[in-house]
Amino acid sequence: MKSMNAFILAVAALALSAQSGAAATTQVSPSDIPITLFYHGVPVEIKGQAAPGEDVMIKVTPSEQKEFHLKYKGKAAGIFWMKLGTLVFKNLPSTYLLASSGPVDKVAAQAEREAESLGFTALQKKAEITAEKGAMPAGDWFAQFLDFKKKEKLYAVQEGAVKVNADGSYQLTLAWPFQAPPGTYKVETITAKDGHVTGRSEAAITVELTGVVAQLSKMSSDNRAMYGILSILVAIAAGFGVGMIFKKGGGSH
Amino acid sequence: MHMYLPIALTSVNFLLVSGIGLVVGLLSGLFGVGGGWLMTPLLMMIGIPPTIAAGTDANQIVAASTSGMYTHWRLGNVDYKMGIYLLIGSFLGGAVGVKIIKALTATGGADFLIKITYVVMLGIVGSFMFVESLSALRKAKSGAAKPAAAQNGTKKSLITSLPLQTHFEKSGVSFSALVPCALGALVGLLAAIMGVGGGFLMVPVMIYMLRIPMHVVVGTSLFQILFTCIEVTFLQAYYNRTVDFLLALLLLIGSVFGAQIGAILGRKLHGDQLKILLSVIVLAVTVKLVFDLVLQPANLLSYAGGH
Repeated sequence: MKSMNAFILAVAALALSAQSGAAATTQVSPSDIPITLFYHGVPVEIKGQAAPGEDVMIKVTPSEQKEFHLKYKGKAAGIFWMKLGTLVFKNLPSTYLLASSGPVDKVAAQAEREAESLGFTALQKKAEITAEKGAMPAGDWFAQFLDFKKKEKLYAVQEGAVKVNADGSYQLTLAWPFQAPPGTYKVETITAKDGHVTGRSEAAITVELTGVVAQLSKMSSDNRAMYGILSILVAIAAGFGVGMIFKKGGGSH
Repeated sequence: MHMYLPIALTSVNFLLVSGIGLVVGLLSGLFGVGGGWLMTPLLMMIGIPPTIAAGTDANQIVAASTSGMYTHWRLGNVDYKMGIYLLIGSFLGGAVGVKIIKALTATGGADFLIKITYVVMLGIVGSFMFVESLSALRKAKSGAAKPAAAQNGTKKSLITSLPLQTHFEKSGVSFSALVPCALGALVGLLAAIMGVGGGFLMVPVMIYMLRIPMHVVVGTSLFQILFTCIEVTFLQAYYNRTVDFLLALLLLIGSVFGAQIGAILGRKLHGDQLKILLSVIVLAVTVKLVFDLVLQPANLLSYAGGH
């Protein structure tokens, strides 16, 4: 009898969860971001549906997560600040943009924040920072990493930026940073009520080089000798061209 | 107003980058220096990754030095014979320097060597130029005749006793061909260690050690820098993929004009005035480097590459 009751409860919980989860939707516009010659980032509209009364958190991270190798500075001979070695950062995304309808620590309970990597404190719990060679240098390297990424505009938390309406529909206008490199990004919408996650949905953003930018990038990688020679010839031609202009303009003594 | 760079993978303000090019080009035309020691830090300040800033520098210096050298060539200020000997030396010195850096990078000592070399070399060159030019300007004002280079007697006899004696007509000096070769090798070695074209070292040495007239020094230095940077651009593009063509294009739009303005301005200024101006800039960069070395940076992390 006990096991039957447990089964009924589990099914009911699953049904409720599925119902909440099904309510969450995510639409991204534009979902394809072309990097053209005059690209300087774009506004991205993220909207969808949650159940009425739910809070919404939207997290953007790259689809693939790689480890980072960054040089660190320390004091050499007690006087000079020098690059002393390399630190390896694991379990951290290269881009992390989080927006929520309210303060993240109120929207989701601590355990849920840690499970879903919501907020910088939750990211720190999962981060693994090691020295590439030798002993790990002393210091708060996660704080340094966070500062480094924030300055690059690739890490940001915007609390209260997601607008949720009475019917549960929500929207966010995200200033997509031009610093975000080409690739595919995962947009996760996580809904929560009373501090507990109730549902989720996902969409994707693809950032791609196009036109002249793509052609030059391809040439620099596929035909390096030609790219090098072209760069030199254009520079010489420009130098001579301007020299001729100044000559005609009466620059001689 | 903004342009996206395909290799640096960032967007930059068109006017800001061309403005940086203009300032550095001005120095190039004025003093015959490549300006790499100034350009790389400026580009890093606007968010260009260090390795791409250094690689692209060489490409834009090709444009600026072509423009500057063209003007000096028309004015008859290039000593090609001297330039070729310097070039032979700098190619050899550069190759040795690259190997030293490679070995030191493996042991982790490269960064320290680079910074200390910068501070010591710039400090010595800047201080010497400043004192010498100031004293020359004072003497000129007081109407005193320029002292003969009597103190160079021992040095001259050593230089003249070397084999392969050559007369450099354009520069009006005679000494062994080994001298510019050795000077080129030393500058090439230091340039490879310091990651710059070496003009700011070449120019003072040619003026003070070899006693070559200032206007010929600038033209000849630009000749040597042009060929060194052509080699570096190709190698950086081929092996490291660190030349951003669009970034170089934006920089050279400013720098080629800057180089022309600099060359014209240089003709209006007295040689000692030029020297004192360059020495002040070199000393200012030295002071900045010393501060960089001893003050704690705002963030202790950085991408690999650069100085």
